[in-house]
Amino acid sequence: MKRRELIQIASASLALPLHALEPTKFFTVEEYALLDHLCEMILPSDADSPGARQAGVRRYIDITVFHSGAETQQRWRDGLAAIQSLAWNRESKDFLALTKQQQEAILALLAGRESNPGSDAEHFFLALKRMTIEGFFLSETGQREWLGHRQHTFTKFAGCAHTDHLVKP
Amino acid sequence: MTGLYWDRPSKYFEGTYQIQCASGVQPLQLAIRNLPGFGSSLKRELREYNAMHVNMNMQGMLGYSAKIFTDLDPEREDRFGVPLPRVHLHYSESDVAMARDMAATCEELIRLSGGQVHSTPQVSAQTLVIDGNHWAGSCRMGTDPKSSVVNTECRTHDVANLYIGDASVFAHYPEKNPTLSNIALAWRTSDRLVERFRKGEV
Repeated sequence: MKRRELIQIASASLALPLHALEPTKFFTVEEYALLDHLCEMILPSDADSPGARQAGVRRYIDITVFHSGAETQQRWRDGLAAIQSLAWNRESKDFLALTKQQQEAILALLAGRESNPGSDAEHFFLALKRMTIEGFFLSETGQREWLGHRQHTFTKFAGCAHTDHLVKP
Repeated sequence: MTGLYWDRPSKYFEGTYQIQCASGVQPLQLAIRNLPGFGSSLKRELREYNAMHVNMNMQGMLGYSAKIFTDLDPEREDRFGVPLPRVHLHYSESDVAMARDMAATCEELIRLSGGQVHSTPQVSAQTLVIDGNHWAGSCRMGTDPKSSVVNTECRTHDVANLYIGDASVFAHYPEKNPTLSNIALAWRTSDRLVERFRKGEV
């Protein structure tokens, strides 16, 4: 079986089908599917509230990385590749083709080194987690359905009522 | 907490400092510093601790010192061939003592608020951590053209009709944010300028 076929099968069963994701500005279709899946693993949809996928966090990251410098862009590309390498080294499969348990084991491995990251994959996990939280926090889904902010309205800002504070022309 | 009050000078350092306290929605900082892992538990904890983050910023006065100055780099240039500025910063013993007092005050405030202090920073001139700056003092105000750039009216000693209107004229850095002083200085400078203009001096 070819790698591409694996990705397609995997994404059909585990992640959203590739074609269901919107066009990207920076990531390839394959990278984007993996990115979306990782974001959803970090902040998943659960009984409590929708997660990173519904909030479209992948788009936040795609747009941000697109507008970043070449060095940052390369780090994201290498980071996703590092996750794939881990999957291939451990299970000889694409990350998206692994079972939920296998995927979580890999992420747990990276999360275990959060306070002292060493490898590229470990550094990438931190960057990814950071951006996922940021994107989720800044999204409407995150604000309304996760944090429960339902009223995005400004407080009434009444002007000063002291007549002696008025600036005389 | 002596450094907090202008009328209660410290024996150990000159000047005063201020504390800025803030709390806010900072799930990102929390996540990076305190909340490990991923998944539903992370999501739950992020929300639990959301808006429960409080931070204290200490802002200290930096006194006038001949060792603090800006000059032009003799070697490095920007792409237009203009020499790059070099900022020379120096912390005196008094500055370090003030920083120590700041840390002690923060601890005291945490304890008085019912919190627990888990670690205390070791403060020395080498480890003075600055996480934010208000740039000021690169065109100091003064009466001596040898040690200052502008006179007390914000007019440069060297060029007769050049006025400078921002925080660069500060002779030393106060423990407050600079904007109000900037506005006051700009206001005063404009008044003087108008006055001189009417007299036909400008």
